[in-house]
Amino acid sequence: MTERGYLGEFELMILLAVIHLGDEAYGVPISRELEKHRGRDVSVGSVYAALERLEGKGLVESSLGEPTPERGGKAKRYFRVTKEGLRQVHETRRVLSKLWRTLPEPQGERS
Amino acid sequence: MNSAEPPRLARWMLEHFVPGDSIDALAGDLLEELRDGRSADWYSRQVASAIAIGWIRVLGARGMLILFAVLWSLLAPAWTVILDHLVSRPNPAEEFWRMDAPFSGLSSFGLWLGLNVVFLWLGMLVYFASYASFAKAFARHEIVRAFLIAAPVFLLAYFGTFVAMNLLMYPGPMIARRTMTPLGEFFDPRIGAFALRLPYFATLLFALWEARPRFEFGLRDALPANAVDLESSTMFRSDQDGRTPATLLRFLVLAGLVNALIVAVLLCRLPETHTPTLGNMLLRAAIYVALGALAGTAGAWIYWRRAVSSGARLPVPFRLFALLCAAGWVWVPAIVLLAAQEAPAAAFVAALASGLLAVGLRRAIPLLTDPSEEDAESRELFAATLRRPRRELQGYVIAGCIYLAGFALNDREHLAASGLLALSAFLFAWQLTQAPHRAVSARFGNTRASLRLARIAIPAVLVTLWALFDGVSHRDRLGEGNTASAHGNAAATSDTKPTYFNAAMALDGYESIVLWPEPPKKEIVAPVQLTPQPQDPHLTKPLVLRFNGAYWYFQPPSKHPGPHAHITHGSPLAVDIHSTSYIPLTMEAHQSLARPLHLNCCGAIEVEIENRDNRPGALSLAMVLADNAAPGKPSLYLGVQPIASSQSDRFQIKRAPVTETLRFVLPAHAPLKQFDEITVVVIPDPVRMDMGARIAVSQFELEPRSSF
Repeated sequence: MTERGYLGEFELMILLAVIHLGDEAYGVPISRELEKHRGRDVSVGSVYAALERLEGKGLVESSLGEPTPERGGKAKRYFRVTKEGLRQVHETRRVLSKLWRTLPEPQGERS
Repeated sequence: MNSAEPPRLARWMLEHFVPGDSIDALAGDLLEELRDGRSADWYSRQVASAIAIGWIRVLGARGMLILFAVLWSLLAPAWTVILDHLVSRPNPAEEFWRMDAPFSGLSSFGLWLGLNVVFLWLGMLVYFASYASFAKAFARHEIVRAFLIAAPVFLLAYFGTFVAMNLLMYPGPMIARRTMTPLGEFFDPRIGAFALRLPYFATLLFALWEARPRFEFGLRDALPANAVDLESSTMFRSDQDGRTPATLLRFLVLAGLVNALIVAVLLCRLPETHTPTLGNMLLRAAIYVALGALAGTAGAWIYWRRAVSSGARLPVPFRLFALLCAAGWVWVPAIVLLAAQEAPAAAFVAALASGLLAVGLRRAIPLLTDPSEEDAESRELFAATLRRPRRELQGYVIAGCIYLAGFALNDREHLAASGLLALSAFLFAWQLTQAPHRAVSARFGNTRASLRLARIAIPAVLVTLWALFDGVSHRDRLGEGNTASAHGNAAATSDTKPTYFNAAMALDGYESIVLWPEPPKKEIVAPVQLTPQPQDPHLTKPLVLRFNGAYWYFQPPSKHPGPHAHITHGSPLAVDIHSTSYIPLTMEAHQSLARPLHLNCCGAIEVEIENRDNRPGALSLAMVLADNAAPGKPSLYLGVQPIASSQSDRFQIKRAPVTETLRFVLPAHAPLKQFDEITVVVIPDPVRMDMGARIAVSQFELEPRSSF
């Protein structure tokens, strides 16, 4: 019996959003991307919490941009997926795909 | 984009209450969104959410630390009892630290702080050690920092708590320890007890906050690429400290065993009653067996989680492992109870438990061999003559353990004998049992292990039951031996084993004691003769009442000896009664009167005592008159008088009892109209509150009111 941590649903979504956004992946666009696909509000704080967790696991890395006046002099924090992060996303997709294939087809209602 | 400004309060809260390193980036993002058309309400909601999520994350990452700080600080009230005991009890060592005035306060303060820091450091050591090989799990500077800041943080936290508690509930955190038992101190739910725990909790939390085990973060970087491939890897793997699965399993079994031992020593006690019922004892035995299993499982679980978190892959699932090991842990309470009675059976029960544990584990865990060893053996298939057989040390260890256990049993070192026999039985059973060549299926293994555990738990309960009954009868024999030996009754003591006395009395004693004076040898009539008492409410001459009542020894919160009190004959001048716990002992002498006396019958009562007490610490006597016949049993307190012969300035070693008379004046007017009982309470110095005084009451002399 082995135990390991899998990517959570929210973490996976964030990783995918970061991959999709490429060099423009920081808090605001990531949150918007998630809102767009989930169809509901996302707390920016929870996005940052998840990103820090992923960074701790070595799946993403971050770097600070230049401070801008429209952001009150605060710098953007850009995120980028690491090689290990990308590998885990693929691994998760592979496992999920296999599991999805075992899902039985819904039977039609009998008349 | 507009130039909207965020709400001031929300911005201030964002800057001050959101934990983590992303505050600036988050603040910039929120501001960007606000200026892009979001509302101020949205901004405030985001800030509130960021604060909540941030703190949940921070606290969640330190869940184990918080739990540990709570548990360790729960011990604080019990620790402070020990501390008071250490600080107040005079001992030769105090000469080294006690200084003269005006620095005497400084030395006392230093001792108090030093001992508290020792308690906190001990806690930190336990915390660090709970992550095995902590030198690798924690950075050195984190450990050093934690130990260094403990003292100043504790001082600040203690001072802050003291001030706050004085402001909120004057006179501050006071705990009436006389009402508590040691276990009760641990679970004391009162505000005062929590106030006492607060500085310890805060200090541990603050000192260890930054000390986090390394494996919590960056673990994936440390693992090889194939380590996360779930499907391709079925091999059992060492953890990141390089320990093999076999070593880890040994460590987990030991961790569970130690935890079960700790819980058994702390919680498995003999019942206080001398005549326990079978049902009660059976229930108690079942609870103890369950406690042993649960404590062992909990102990192993903590380290199991850690091992798995650090990358180890173990050959059995935890549930199966726990079920197998529980078959050994269920015997621990019986072993502890038997060892406390110094019964040799403890060693044999330990051997049985350990053998069962080994057989269970061996049958379920597949062969764990080093791959390099396997390769070597397969290569040597073609070169058998060159292969050197592996040296088997187990046989020597088994023989040595049995040999030493025999010696230990002979020397009545039953605990050591238990450990040695357990080790030899484990090794023997391990060698004898065939291990499976591949992993047992979890479902099948769990079912089989559950059934096995159920089968083993029944005899374990029965053996624990036997240990309980044997313990009660053993304790009773000791009590009789103690009483007899106190009176020099050689015949009675010949049936007892004096060498067992101290160990057993330290473990258990009587809940309370009633000591009746020895009846005069030539007295024919058994009932005690009472001195005739006048019918006239006013005495015309002094009335002497010889003391023939009982001495009570009991512990708060009781106000009198309980229903299971040990009742015996003896003189307090001859017996040595002391508390076996940290709870003070109360000693009272009760004289009942044949008929009530009017309070105005006399103006004072003189009590004549014999003092043969040579222990350090002054003694005083208080007197209480009571009317037990009146509704509500009213009483009158006559004050306290010091016993001069026990005061430090007049103290001398007493070879024979010293007679002394103390005088208690009766008030002219009091709510109490008459009394039918005189109670003398011995009030000791705090340094000797855990022992009875060697003081006997000889007589009372009631002085007529007109004579003074």
